[in-house]
Amino acid sequence: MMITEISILRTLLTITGITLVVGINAVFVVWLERKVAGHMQFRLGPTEVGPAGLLQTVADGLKLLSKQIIFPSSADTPIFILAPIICLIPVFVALVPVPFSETLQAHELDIGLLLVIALGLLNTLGILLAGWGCDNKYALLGASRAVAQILAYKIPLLLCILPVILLAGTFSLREIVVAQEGTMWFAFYQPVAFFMYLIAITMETNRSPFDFAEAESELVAGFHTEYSGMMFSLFFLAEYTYMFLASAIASILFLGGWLGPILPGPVWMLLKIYFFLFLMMWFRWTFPRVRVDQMLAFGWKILLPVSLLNFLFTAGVMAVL
Amino acid sequence: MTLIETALDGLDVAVDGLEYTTCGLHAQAEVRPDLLRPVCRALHSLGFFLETVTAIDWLADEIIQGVYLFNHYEQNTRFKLTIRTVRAHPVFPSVGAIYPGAVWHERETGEFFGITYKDSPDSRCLLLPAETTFHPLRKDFRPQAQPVDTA
Amino acid sequence: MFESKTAPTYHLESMEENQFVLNLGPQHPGTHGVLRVVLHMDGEYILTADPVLGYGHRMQEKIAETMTYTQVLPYMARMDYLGALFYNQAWVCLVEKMCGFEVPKRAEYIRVLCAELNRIASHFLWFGAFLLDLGAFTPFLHAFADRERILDLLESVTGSRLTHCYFRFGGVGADVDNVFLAGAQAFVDHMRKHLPTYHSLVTGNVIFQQRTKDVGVILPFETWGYGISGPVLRGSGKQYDVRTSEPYSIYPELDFKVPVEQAGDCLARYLVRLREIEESLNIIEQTIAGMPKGPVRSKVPKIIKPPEGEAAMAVETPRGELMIYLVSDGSTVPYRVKYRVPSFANLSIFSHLARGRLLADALAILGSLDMVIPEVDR
Repeated sequence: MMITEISILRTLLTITGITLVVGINAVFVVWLERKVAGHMQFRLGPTEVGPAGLLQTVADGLKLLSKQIIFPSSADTPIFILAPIICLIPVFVALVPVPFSETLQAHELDIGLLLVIALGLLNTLGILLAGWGCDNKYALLGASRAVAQILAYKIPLLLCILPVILLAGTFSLREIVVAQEGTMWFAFYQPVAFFMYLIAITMETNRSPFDFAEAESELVAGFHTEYSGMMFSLFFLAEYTYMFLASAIASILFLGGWLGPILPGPVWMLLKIYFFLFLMMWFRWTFPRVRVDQMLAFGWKILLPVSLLNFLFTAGVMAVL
Repeated sequence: MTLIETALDGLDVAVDGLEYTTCGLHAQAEVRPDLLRPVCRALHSLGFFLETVTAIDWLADEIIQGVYLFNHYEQNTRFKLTIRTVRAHPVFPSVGAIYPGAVWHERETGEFFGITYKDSPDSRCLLLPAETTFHPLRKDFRPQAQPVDTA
Repeated sequence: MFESKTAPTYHLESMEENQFVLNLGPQHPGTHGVLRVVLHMDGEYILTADPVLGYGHRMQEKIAETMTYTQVLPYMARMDYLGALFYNQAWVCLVEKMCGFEVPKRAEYIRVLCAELNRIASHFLWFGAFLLDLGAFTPFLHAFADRERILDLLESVTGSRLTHCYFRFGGVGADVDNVFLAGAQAFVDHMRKHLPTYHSLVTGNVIFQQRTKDVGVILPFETWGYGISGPVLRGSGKQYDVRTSEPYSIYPELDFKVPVEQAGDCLARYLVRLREIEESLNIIEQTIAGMPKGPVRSKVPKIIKPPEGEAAMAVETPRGELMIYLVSDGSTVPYRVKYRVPSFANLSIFSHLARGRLLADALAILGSLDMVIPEVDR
């Protein structure tokens, strides 16, 4: 393929667009989290900075930028620096094939869904590097818990996506939404898969009740104990962007992406994404933390068999029909 | 009162009843140090719990008195058991093997008074820093007279 | 070879690959106060747990030997800042017992009323902190919102929100007025409506039950070997509460139950404490209804000089049995004071309970034991 001026322009637009999405999402979703937390806890949340506290995240970002970045003397510095970058960049790239409307998509990929799933795994690699690199036993414990978590959720996650792929007949994210046009959204065809997918993405994004990688009350701050200043905020940004990505995939796969009456496509897409984000925040401020071995037991004894049975059932029904 | 008598039946221990309403103790007894463990074993078998292990420094009499206060969950009986030894190098037998909770009490009393508990499972300092060379609760220890180097 | 009085050294070369030593350091969100636990771990499992105390040690027992009986009274509240009125009560009752001071009826009622309010406040803080250890953030704030009401009430009558020094020899420091009594009754009514929220938010939650059921089981026959008391003991089936076993003040005249659970795990201790809150609400209501009129302090000599001898006094604090043993030589200054604090005994069983468990469980157990480290360290 020739590199033309248009493709360079398109690439630049893509990068700018995704950066804007990530940035504005971070500002908004952190504010939303703090407001949701506040109102669930009998208090108000941020109210000072900006109207209704909307610029609070900007203030926090500025504060974190100004903090000293401390490098522990016995830390493995290349790995220490690389870890937050590895957490963040793949999530950026994974936003490329995500369509926000019929035409609003960075780049159409036939195997868009596969790419997103594969890149999601690199997040855990980043966590593991963070835990190893800072020579801190608490961080290492948190990182090893995150790796154990993959065992619990990854296969059920894939098994929940497979019925959707069967129903849509394609890996392309855009085509999956198009396949839901005119018929019912896949959440109604696959309620079991939808429900378990929700649980799996809560595990995937290290959110409560599955947030043991950074379990505050046990492991001080888990894998990012030793990170300060901008490097800590990179992890923060990566986590919220990953939540955004996971919610986007959930709305594409199960809730029909940009489909919806009256309002334009991107608005529906954003509404659905923020509905999932709100759900994850609701979980966080309501539930205590699950224990690591209980999560593994849950993943292997309940999520895996149920999602496997669901997939086989779907395949059987589709073969018959 | 009768519960204690039942427990210590057969042991050579003289138990004195006390006026509970004025002093909060039901009975007391003084034993020889070598009888401490048999008495504790007997009390433990009847379900007495060790409220505390402590000591009193009688400077005038040159004696350190070990005080063991027992009580019972079902029948409230506060029983004080005392043993005594010379002040110079006090050594008491440890009851850590009978009452696991006594180990911490003994560690604390040992470091405060300079008492050695023989055969204790754990004889490290508990509350004071490990490098402490003095025994604060002894009556001849005057806090203001000895500046402590807290490095 | 000299007998080493320092901490055991862990020979890292001889440890297997998965084993390491982790410091649940003096600064940790999960230890309640300045407690250090040296954990020898195999992966996430704890092989041995060794609490290291003394970070908050102030040698209270020596301080008491240099101060008069009245001067020791403010020190009481600093030992257990969450249950300050109980320490107040233990000290004043002890000296009153030795000296034979009378306490007016109204003062006794006020003492019990304020003490039970203090008990509820302490249990609320424990509830929030325990759930924070388990990872649930919201109940903490709900508990603190209710706790604020109690602290406001107690502040209006004692003058301080936390380290109350309200009881005096022969009574209490100041009288309570009808505003306070009305406020206390309003609090009781509010809590009776609000307590079901706590249960619906937390107690029935599957994740919470999974984290606390069968975790840190204290068997009944282990209890007296360690000297456990309080809700920790009552969660293992033993009905021992100083208020009913060794009644003091006006508790014999009040009608209340002592909640007991049989399971002995963290969930049992949690349930015992929540039921104790309900029972304390009953006690408060009874004291408000039955508060007699009269003086709140009897005349006691300015200089307190108990007769030569000894005495012991036990009270039931939110954490267990506090017993103070006092030896007096007839002077204005105590000869020997021994504070038998409940958290000390309750913490001594921790290393036994944590062995072989996951780190997350050990923290749940630590939280369920409800410790205040300053009282352990004194």
